[in-house]
Amino acid sequence: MTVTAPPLDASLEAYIGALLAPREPDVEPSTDVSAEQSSVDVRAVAPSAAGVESSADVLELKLVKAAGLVFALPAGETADADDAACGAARIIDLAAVATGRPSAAVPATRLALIDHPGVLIAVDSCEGLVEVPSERVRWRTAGGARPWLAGMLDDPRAAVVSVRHLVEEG
Amino acid sequence: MSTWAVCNQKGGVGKTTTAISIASLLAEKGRKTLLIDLDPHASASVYLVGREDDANAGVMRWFSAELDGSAASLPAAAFAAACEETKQPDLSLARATPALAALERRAAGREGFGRVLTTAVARLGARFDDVIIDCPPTLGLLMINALAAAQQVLIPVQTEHLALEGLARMSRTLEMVERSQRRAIPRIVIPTLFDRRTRASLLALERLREEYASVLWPEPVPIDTRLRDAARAGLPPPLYDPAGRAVGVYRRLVDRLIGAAEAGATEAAPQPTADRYGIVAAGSPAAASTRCSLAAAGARS
Repeated sequence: MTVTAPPLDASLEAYIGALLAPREPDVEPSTDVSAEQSSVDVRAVAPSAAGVESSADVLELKLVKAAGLVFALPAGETADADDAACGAARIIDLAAVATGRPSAAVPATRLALIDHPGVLIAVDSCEGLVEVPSERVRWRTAGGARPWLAGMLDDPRAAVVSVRHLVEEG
Repeated sequence: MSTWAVCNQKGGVGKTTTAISIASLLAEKGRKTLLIDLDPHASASVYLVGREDDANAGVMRWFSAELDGSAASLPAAAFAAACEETKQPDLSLARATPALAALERRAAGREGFGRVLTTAVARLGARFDDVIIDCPPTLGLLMINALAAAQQVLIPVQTEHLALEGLARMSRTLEMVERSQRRAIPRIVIPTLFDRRTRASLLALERLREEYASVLWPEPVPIDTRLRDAARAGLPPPLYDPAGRAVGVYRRLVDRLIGAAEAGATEAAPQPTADRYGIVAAGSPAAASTRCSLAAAGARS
């Protein structure tokens, strides 16, 4: 795969990049982002009290990549999986859930879910942690076709994942 | 589910014939196969099921749902409703309509619109074992959708000089999509419309072997009038003439595709054996033999 593009192709590459950019959530977010008004249980997305190191309105999210897309998982609900866990767990391939195609990463990076023993999430890579105010997440307001997609974060651009729904679906 | 896009930015290279033949051969093996026609000319659709007056039929439903914001709330069955059966068992079609030609303008400025087909194919889920996408011959929204949705790309290339230039453009486009998606897209280049009697065909084939050896399907699809007869009869070539020469090449290609898919392989480089296929990769004895035949064909070019 070539890394650099010829200058003449730059505009074409930009066009293709825009077409393939991660899409907005399918359902417009509510102007009121309170958990009670969202059909997606924000508490399932937000880190548990034990996982939050700052205030309750700030989410600590673990950014991961899968299928070329960036996802944000509640940091307090995930942990690095050790080798022992890898052998026995049910593994949810985030790329497969999101795009219908299995991850191309070999080996995949696996994350353990603190509230779901025996379940792992496979991703292509972990990109680090971010802390963002809850109101910066555009929460989805209706169930839609992808309940695991809890909302969208614009900066950094990422799809916020509801771990609980992901476990139920995946 | 395996998804292959049949594409080339040049027209008249045998894309639709290749797509229909491969889809038909997959279905012949009892695999639930969906042929997605993304070409606004709708040649594959007319070929397999005839014309349709509803501009919003087939794949246009998926794009329209995205345009009007209803895609997310559509159940999977609604996506499947865009598919229709053909005369061949296990072969379904998601038809094209001329309305697809206006999609570029209607979707202007919408980021992420290149992923609509990826989503649609994912929503079809386990209904199909294989999906073949017949692309339009122009680089645009529809082709990008196809490349994004495909696990592997099949590039028919007519064995003539101008078609090789088109292949170079197609390769650059693929590289751009690879960079954008941060994944490799394996590809197989399929020489088509090969006429061994002409010097032009032989020269083009030799150049393909030299420049695209690692991704070239080694057995060219010959010019075969039975393909035209099959289109006139409205039957996929494998049904019309199961023993046809061109069908034989496609059949061996399909065997290879299925084998690779079932093995979980993603390698693009086809490596059939020399005995079975008369492999003609650059530097092989067969390639040398081809070069020898060029001299003999020179007077007929």
